[in-house]
Amino acid sequence: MNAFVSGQSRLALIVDGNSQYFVRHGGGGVHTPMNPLMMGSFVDSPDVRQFESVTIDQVVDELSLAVEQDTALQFLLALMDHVEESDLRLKLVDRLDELSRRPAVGRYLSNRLYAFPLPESAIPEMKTLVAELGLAHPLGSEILSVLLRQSQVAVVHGAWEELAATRFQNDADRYRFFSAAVLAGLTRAIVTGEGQPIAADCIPARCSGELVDAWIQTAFGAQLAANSGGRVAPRASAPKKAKIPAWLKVAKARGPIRAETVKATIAVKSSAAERKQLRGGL
Amino acid sequence: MRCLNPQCPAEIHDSLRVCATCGRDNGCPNVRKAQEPAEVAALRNRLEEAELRADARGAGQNLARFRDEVADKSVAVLAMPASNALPLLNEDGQAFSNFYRLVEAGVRIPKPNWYDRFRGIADQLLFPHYAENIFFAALSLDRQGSPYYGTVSLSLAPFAISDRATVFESNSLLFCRDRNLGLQSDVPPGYRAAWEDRGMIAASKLEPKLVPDTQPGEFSGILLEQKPTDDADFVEVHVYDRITRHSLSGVVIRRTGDPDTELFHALVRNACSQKGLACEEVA
Repeated sequence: MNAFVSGQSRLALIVDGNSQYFVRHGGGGVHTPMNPLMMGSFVDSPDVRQFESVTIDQVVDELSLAVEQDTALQFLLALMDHVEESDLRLKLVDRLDELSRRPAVGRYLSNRLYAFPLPESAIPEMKTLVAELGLAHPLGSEILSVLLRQSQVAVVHGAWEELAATRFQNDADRYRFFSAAVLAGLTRAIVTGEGQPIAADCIPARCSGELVDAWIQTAFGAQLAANSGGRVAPRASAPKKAKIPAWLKVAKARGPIRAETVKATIAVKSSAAERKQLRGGL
Repeated sequence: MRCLNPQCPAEIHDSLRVCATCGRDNGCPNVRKAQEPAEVAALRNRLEEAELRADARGAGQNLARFRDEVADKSVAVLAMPASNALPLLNEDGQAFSNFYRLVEAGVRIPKPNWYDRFRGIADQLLFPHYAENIFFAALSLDRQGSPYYGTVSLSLAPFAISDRATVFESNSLLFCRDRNLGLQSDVPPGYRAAWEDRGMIAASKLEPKLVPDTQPGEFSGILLEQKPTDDADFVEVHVYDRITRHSLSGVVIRRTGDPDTELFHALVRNACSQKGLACEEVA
């Protein structure tokens, strides 16, 4: 049987010969026939993934993982947007900590973080989150890495935009390829230069190898041009010696996350001076 | 039909809203269909028969009350998991695309087999050549959808849909399947209505459930079954074209014991508060 799984909608659509039905997360394996209301919820989710020749148990497992990945991603996005209520923020960080320790969830978040440059408004929030999680936490160190590589993320994404504009007939193909590349960790691999296993079947076959090569070449070309001042305004003066910002010092000092640690961080943040310090520039 | 622009000689196809010749908006195809004389007459007949039956057993007044309440107070709702609702509430630009638009764009999932067997037949009968523009919701008196579909119910603001929504007897897919409708037999008239006539559909359909001592507080459960199973009955709402967050009038959250879901609910409440959207919690 084949299946389409969406963590966001908490549903898997099973296609088994002539039978098609939904399996709901947490629904005790209940199979639900097609229904317009349910279908709408399913197809509106941007994270639908296809699995071929799978058993029902595998589908249930994949759905469970997809739900954890979506939950972690949405909590991370919420934290990026700034959560005013400290108790809620604490709970979100706590749960994100738990979820992201599962390697498949952490990798999913990491791959997503390298897909697009972070919006300006999210950067202070992400710095705070790094301070809260600590650098010993896999997600904390990964977010730090993403923060430090924002210019490269922008270059790689810009290279993609430039290339995609000439290579795809329509937005759907373009979207499909880019989504697959992100999920497979390709954007992360190009930005960091770190080899990461790329599931070949995640990349649509008809435009895989050559396009990926072209993307990498375009990105490197853009990076070289940027480094030589061709793409960005040259620095007015020689770069100063990097100074470790306060938020990073806090993060470095933190061990593995604990509820008390987060509470303490929140408490510290309530002090205006410290909060300002935590949100200091890179 | 002839274009509504008196100076335009064009004939408008049943599936089109805008005249290709002059650009005049001729109204949504689903609304035009529901307002056809044959549809309106058949629905009136059904209602008259329902009223006679209700009167005969002393439930006539209750049926009239029920009809009026649905006509005055019912809203279109979308029930979904909180994880689905949150991105929709947060992203201004995200439209609630429907299945067909996505299939057409090839963005999300390929067309599955059931499309041809069930959904396709139902939709081609009900929305010939414009199914890709129809968005589905359910009619509700208490702004809650069926709990089976999720813990967050989004209500659509009447201003956003009253000119482009129609109501249908029940789950259209099951309606067509149970009656063996298809190429040989079309959807009979009298089972759909324009938005302003939704009380007529509800009363015609649900008259057998009203008895002399039915209390007004029971009306919402009669209109939309609140059982947490996939066979919960409802009056289906068909909205032509896209819906965005700005089309919403409010949100109802149904509390659960699940910690992750409750965190999502807290984020949904925050999003509502930021966007100035009414949000209510129920047990």
